[in-house]
Amino acid sequence: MPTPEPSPRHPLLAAQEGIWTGQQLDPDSPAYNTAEYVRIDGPVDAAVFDTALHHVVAETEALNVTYVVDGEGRPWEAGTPADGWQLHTADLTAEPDPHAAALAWMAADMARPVDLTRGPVFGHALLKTGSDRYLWYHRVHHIALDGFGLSLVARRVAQVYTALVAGEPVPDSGFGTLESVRAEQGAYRESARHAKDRAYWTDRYADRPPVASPAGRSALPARTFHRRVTDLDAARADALRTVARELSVTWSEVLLAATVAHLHRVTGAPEIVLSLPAMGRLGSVSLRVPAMVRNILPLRVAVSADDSLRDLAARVSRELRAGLPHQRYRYEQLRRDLKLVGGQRRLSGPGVNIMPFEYDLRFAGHSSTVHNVSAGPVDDLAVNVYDRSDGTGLRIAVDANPDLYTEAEVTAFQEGLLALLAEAVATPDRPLHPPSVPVLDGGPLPAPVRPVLSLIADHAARRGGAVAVEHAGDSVTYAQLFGSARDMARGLAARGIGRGDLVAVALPRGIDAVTTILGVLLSGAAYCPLDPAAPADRTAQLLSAATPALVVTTDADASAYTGTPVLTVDQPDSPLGPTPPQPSPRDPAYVIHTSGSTGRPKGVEISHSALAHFVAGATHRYGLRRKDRVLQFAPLHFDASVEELFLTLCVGATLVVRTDEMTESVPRFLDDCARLNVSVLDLPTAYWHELAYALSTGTTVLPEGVRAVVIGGEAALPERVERWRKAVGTSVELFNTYGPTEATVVATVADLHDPALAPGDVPIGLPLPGTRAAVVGGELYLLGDNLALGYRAAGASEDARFAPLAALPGGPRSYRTGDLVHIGEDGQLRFLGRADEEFKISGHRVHPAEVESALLSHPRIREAAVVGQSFPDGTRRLAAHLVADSPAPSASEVRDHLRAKLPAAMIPSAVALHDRLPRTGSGKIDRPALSAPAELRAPSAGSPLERTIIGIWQQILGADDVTAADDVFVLGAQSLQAIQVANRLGVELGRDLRVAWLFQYPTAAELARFLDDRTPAAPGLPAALLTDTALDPGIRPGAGRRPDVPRRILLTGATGFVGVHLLAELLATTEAEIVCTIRARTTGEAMDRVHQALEQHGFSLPEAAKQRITAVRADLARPGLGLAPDAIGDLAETCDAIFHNAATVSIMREYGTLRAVNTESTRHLLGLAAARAIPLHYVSTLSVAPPASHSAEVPEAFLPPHAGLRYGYQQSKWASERLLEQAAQRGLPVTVHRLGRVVGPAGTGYVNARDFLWSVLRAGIPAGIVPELFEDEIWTPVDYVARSVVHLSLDGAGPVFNHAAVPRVRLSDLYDWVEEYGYPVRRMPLAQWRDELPRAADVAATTLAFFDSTSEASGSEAPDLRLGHVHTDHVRKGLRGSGITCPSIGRDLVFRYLDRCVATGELPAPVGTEPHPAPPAK
Amino acid sequence: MPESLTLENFRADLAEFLYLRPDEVDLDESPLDAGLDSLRIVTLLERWQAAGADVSFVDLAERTSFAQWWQLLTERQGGAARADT
Repeated sequence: MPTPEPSPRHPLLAAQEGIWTGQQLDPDSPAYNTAEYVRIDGPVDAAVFDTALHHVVAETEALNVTYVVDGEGRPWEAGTPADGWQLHTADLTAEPDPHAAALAWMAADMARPVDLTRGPVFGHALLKTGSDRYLWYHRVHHIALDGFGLSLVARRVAQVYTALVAGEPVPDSGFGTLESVRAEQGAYRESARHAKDRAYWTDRYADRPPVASPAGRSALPARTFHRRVTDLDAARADALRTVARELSVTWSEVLLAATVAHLHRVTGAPEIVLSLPAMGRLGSVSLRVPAMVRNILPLRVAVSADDSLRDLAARVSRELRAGLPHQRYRYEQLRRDLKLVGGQRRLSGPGVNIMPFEYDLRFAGHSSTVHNVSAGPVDDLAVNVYDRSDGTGLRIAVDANPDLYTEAEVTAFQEGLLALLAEAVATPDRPLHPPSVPVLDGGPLPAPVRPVLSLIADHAARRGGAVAVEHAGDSVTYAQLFGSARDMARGLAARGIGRGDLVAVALPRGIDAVTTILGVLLSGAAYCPLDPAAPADRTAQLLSAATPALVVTTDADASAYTGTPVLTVDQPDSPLGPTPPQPSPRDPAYVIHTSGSTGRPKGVEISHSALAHFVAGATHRYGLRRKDRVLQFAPLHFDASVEELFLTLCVGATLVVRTDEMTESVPRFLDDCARLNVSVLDLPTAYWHELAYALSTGTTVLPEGVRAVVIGGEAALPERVERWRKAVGTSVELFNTYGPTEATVVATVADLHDPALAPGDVPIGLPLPGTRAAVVGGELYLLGDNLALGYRAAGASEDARFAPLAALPGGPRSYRTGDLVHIGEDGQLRFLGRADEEFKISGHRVHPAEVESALLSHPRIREAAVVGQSFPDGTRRLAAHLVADSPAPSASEVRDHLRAKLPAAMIPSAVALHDRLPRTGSGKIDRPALSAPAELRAPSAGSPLERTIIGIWQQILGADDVTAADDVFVLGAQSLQAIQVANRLGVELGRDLRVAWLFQYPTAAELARFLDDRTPAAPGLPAALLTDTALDPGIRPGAGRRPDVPRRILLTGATGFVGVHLLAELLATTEAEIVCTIRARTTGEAMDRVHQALEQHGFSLPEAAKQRITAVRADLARPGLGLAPDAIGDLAETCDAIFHNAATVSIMREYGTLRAVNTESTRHLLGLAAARAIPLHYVSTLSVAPPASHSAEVPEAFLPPHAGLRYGYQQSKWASERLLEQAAQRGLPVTVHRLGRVVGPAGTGYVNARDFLWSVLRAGIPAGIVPELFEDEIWTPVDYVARSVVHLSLDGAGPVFNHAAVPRVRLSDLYDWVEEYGYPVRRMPLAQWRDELPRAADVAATTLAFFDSTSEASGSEAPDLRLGHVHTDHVRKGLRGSGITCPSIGRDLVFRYLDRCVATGELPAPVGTEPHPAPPAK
Repeated sequence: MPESLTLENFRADLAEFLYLRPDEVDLDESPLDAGLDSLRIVTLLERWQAAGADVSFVDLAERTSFAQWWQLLTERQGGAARADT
């Protein structure tokens, strides 16, 4: 290799300067990465390909560069050999969708900014996506190459690769030098030609024409862009070419003309100025130089409504041909000449980039096609047209700056453009009138509209006995309903309430609610439904804005409404006033609140006239009949309730009010619908999605009586519509409704049961009879008598949504929905998305501004951005992105804060903290970047059932950090989501799953345990047990050092019966400080608890010993033992031994409830011990061993899983041992001490009150009966055990010790001694004892429950817990010579225990005898 | 097979794309000054390739007069195969 010369430096080419400057505006932006991929259809030799790429890169000057800045800030291009780069290769054929995986890889690569000062400025990948299919991805920073330059490189790579594969010499590249390009450019700038070109452009643009674009404003280039791709098929492309020939222009000019016409339609501007990227290479040396020389030409075209395509195409062609000879004059220079630099000053607007080049590249004979990935940043809008080289037509990609356009707007623009193109190509001589605004008409109403109250009064008068409302077994007839409502109206009148007033109704669904609503309307007032469950702040906000005269609620809720007079429905009849006059059609009937873009909820006022028109139109549209039974599903503060209630009552049908229990599960819901003979279901779309899912899995069936289903509230998922149609067919009517509250519940309806609908097509249909809708610039405007009066107490900006639509003759009043739609070929509307940030979740409209405003009221939240995210499966969630002051609030704190202010649907389920929020080049929050949902990770921890539960919750919550211990409701789960989870989990597990269970067991762990318990006894161990017994691979002995004699000892469970004796023994036999982990609120309390325990067990320690006790607050059930991270680190560094004795001892509890304390704690402690290989001594139990019936022997060794592990406690201790076994195998010093029944110290006769056997005795002795529980047991007094454990631990060996080197105590002997002591007892089988025991013997409640549960499982037999021969060699050997011996356990000791029980009152004194004086202990 | 290219056809082709009569085509003019764009050149190229001329886009685009085009086309008539880029 020659010594590298000092890298030469060159000024940038003119085109490069523009890119450089753009990059400096946002140095970390990846937007200037351009890329394409070449799909090669045939095998590719990756090694040869790599060689070819390195060859081509090395010979391509423009790729061996970096960019440096001199002292004056001027950029220079430095020749810097690009070495050390590597081709990325990947075989993606194992991916579920290899192509998608490749595109995802590319997207990730594209998102990485390039450091121009370091390079390399390019990247290559070869991705295998099929057996004979490769994608060669080629990325280059735009400063180095333009599109043509990229194509030169691609062609050269194909050539070199082909030669290498053939074993032929590589031909010369034919590339010219960058120097030649620089020289040519320099010469041009000095030429007369340059002056002539400048004169042309400065003259043509001397008037600096206004630049129109759909956004109406400009923005800096963003980091990303929206792209919407459509292919014009061969037929349509041919039609385009044919018409171009006919018009004597090129097809590109036809496209330019169509773009101009569409921009004119959208903006109304009389002249459109396009930006045209130009190759800039004609007659230039740069035709053979990969470089960045691309220029932009402005193209101004006057346009009027009367122009035809022929007129416009000719004008475009002329203008273009006039400018092309001057195409070398730089665009940047022209802007400077015209003083159009900076601010909002623009020379030209939307871009049209037409790439007519076919790359017919062949790689060793294999054909390929080229696909653009990115053409660089998008200033405004760009229409990119690629000629598809496979002859299948044209590809049109509309790119847009996300700061200026939403994705829906891009779609609407593209669809508008294509529609116009099709129209123009078909009729090139017809004037391209600005859109006569398309108006959709719902057709006439079948009959004159009548007020709702008059219709209901008619039914009461004519068919008074018909049932109007049913709820939970109660029902009222029309006569009763109307009578009560009229009385209520008169009661209200007596209070002075009537026309012009608003009455808030805060009632749950039910007959009272319906009566109240009618009563309010009959009084002449309007009603305003409030959510009784809303947070107080929210309610207060609504009340202060809506200013109702009265709140009607229940006694129970009355206290929640202060400051407004309250009437409760439970109140005895109030005095009646005169019958009030009927409201007029213009009077408001109700006010319902929706989320507002100003950060406050908006009250929508609907008049009686609008309500009556809606009822007439919708009743006719749904074909509702008197004999229908309609389910009332929605809460009253949703306007769907208006539909259910008034449609039903106005047609004289029966309203069946849903009970809360009905939605316990989808099967239950449908069963109840069947039982209640519901014929019409009106459901929130989100709930219907669950129904469709459950039906499609065969979990349940739709009741035969259901003839029609009305859905609405959010966009129906095509996938669910398909499921529904497969499961239900098209005989049940399915009405998909769309409508904002502002247009009275429903504006448009589509028949999804229409068999003619194509799969995947989900229209929202046509306006209701009697109403119309118009589409202006892609946005839906609603017209007609159903529109709201406006917003109650609204500002002008909000009311501006209700305005005359000037585009229509007469300028009728309209409501601008903000929803983007298009009209399909069948004339029906399709919903595309929102024009603003509004988001629908669970049927609620949510304006991020409203949530943001609530977030910012938190004292430590500085910035907030709330975005809606949609996942591929249709799940939607709100995510809050925050910048907070330290200490940053936790996600649950944030949610708690919001919960006090906002309804549940507005609480984000994801809360992310950022150092700063991502911003676009123009400084706006980069909402699209925040909205992009992350991939959901599958849950990895927990039992299979837990993982299933977590997985479904994660899907529904759109979060991937749910753990088995998380309370999903704390995470922000809402009721509807619980319904969704219950449904999906029910389907997944193949069992009926009640929503209530999710509320009762809000963590996956609890729910899994509950479900496990309900599962008929499965053989084997709990699945969680097996998962829990895998020791983390990272836990291995580290290199840390510790002294031979422990200076600091960690003791867990120090306040327990055994623990306190261990503490005393450790203090007595070592000089170490003993650190005790204690569950307490404060360190002081922790210390107190240690001292109390010592005292309670009769220890009085010398002061010096007490000084060596340190108590730390800890919770062993929590990760990190509930300690602060630095406290853990401190313990890990300073402790020289650990005694782990803490455990929850319970004979009743299941493994799942014990694992955290009894098993996970061991894992955490092993983690703490590993770095310095701190010895860990574990206090276990002999009950981990199989009973004699399973195994004749209990080895002094770790135990494999066995069938005798039947109880949670036993399992949890065994699991801990299992972890220790793995730790021992890895070389960590551990010991395990299995204890038998630990009885009171021989010296004091103290009895462990919580001991199982003593519970039995305390229950049985007073009743004179004792059960036959077992034959014999191992008993060890606690003081002896503590001494043994400490001695054996500190003197090594082991690792397992069975503390059973003592004669067993026979139960018959024990009972003999009890009798001898003076208690006559009858011995009997357990079941009999259980039966004869007085119920009042509550002392043994858990003990009895235990017997109950075991006898259920194993007949009436006592559980066989007797152990086989217990090996104790380790214990015997270890204690040899220690002087530690076990006191004999016999009559004397038992008497001492009984004495103690009598003394403490736990047992009555034996009748007729004096207490035995027990002999003193030895 | 399309007929082989004659100067008359060549002029006629250019005239069509330059909106001129064939006799108005100035063979000394440069394609750039004539206002030709890439798409037009590609379209002409395809037409001439179909008539048997073995030329590439770059061959045409780098030449600075229609006369040079004609010279190139006559040299490369009839599949005088030569690989170029």
